[in-house]
Amino acid sequence: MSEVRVLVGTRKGAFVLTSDGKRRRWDISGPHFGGWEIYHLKGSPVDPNRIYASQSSGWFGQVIQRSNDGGKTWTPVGNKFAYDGVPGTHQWYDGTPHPWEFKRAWHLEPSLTDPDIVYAGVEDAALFRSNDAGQTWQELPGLRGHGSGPRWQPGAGGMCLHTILLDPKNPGRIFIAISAAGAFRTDDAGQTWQPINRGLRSQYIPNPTAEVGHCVHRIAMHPSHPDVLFMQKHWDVMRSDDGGDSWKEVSGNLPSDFGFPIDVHAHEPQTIYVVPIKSDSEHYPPEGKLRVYRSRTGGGEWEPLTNGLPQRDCYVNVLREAMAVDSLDSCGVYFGTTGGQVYASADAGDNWAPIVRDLPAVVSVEVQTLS
Amino acid sequence: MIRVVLPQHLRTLAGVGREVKLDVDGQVTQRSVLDALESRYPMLRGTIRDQATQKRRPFVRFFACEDDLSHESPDAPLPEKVASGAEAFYVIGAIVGGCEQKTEQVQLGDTGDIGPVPFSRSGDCRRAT
Repeated sequence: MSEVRVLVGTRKGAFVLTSDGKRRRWDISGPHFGGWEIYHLKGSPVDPNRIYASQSSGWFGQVIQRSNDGGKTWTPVGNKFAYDGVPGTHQWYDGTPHPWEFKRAWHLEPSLTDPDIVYAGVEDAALFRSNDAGQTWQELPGLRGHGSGPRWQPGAGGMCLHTILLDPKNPGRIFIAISAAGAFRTDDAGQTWQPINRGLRSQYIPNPTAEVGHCVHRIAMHPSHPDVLFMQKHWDVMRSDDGGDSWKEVSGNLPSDFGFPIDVHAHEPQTIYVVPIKSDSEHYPPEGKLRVYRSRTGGGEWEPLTNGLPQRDCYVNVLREAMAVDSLDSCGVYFGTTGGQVYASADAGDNWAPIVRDLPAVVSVEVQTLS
Repeated sequence: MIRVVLPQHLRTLAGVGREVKLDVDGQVTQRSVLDALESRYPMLRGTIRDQATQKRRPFVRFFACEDDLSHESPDAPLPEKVASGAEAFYVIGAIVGGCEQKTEQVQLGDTGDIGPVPFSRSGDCRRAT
């Protein structure tokens, strides 16, 4: 019998939601780490009971937690994220040089092959790797040392490395994204990196087609087609068919192409999901209607999914880490809101229901499909 | 024996009660106390002092014997009553709203309570030498 485990990070703790494969009744455990911001939790695809969590606080800094029993119990592990060598500077909001300073881990990405290996995307933007299950962390300095590093500038939420995609067909290839530097790719397991932002156009930066400086909000990939990438940029939904070498816009008929998350159906590599948000100055759904938009054509043509979602007076946001899919035969889609709801659809988005309503603001949602 | 009182979140993280007792070798200073604390409870590394600079985190403060010691040198001797164990060394989350009466719960912003106000009312707080 299959089971689904939803890992929810919120502004005030982590929650673990579990259900059987029918996905009708949910058990909720938590809050774990109550009172702390949980930017992200993610389980190892090799050992699903191995889960890593990023716990942080403006008062007490960064803690990394690890569970070996599916989130029942947790152990704090290493939290020393020391930049390699002399950190140097990036651009501050006003364009002046600003020293690189570690603030928090936004994203934890366990290896596809080894439960003891995990990557961390952090603010100020850098990529770290642990080979010992989170006890110690080493920077992959080739990314930050890329020649463009001193020109990177923070987005409104900070200069965060928030997306890490591991290519299942090419162990040396990793994609990452930084707000607001853009997307980068390595083909040698992190030693060297190149920006992959050709085709992005951002009107809000001095050179709209610059090599770096784009506020990429999220990138998604289907594991069977790792050269096909989908991107929710600050404005614009984009697609690449060549591993990020070039991008084209696929916003199509979306009511707004501003948004944060983007994800791909577990079994249909051309079916993708976004949540349009009215604008970067309002951060709530257009017309007060919470709608997930689905494209079955890999972008361009979109349909609103509304059954079970509030269609009036809804002014929540859905953050970049807060959408995920399960891999049951009928693909489940999940997203969390800043209003504390986690919505789930057990039929690929046709029908939705809240599986929990009153959590703290949801920052991240990840799903594990267990057999 | 040095007594250290931790804020709630750090008690939970370290799995300890309100107060921990530590043996500190040599001179009793902020640095030696925190070194001993982190040595015994490694999960607290980085939560009170920045991992890279070893400086006090901005929203953490240190109190003892009615004094705010947050801006003292980390190598300055702590008060004699702290060194003797008569008074505790308090690690505090950022305080919002002050505490004029020194008798009430300290108000915090967003992180929850920190327990009783960390002030002694017993007078003499000379520094240990």
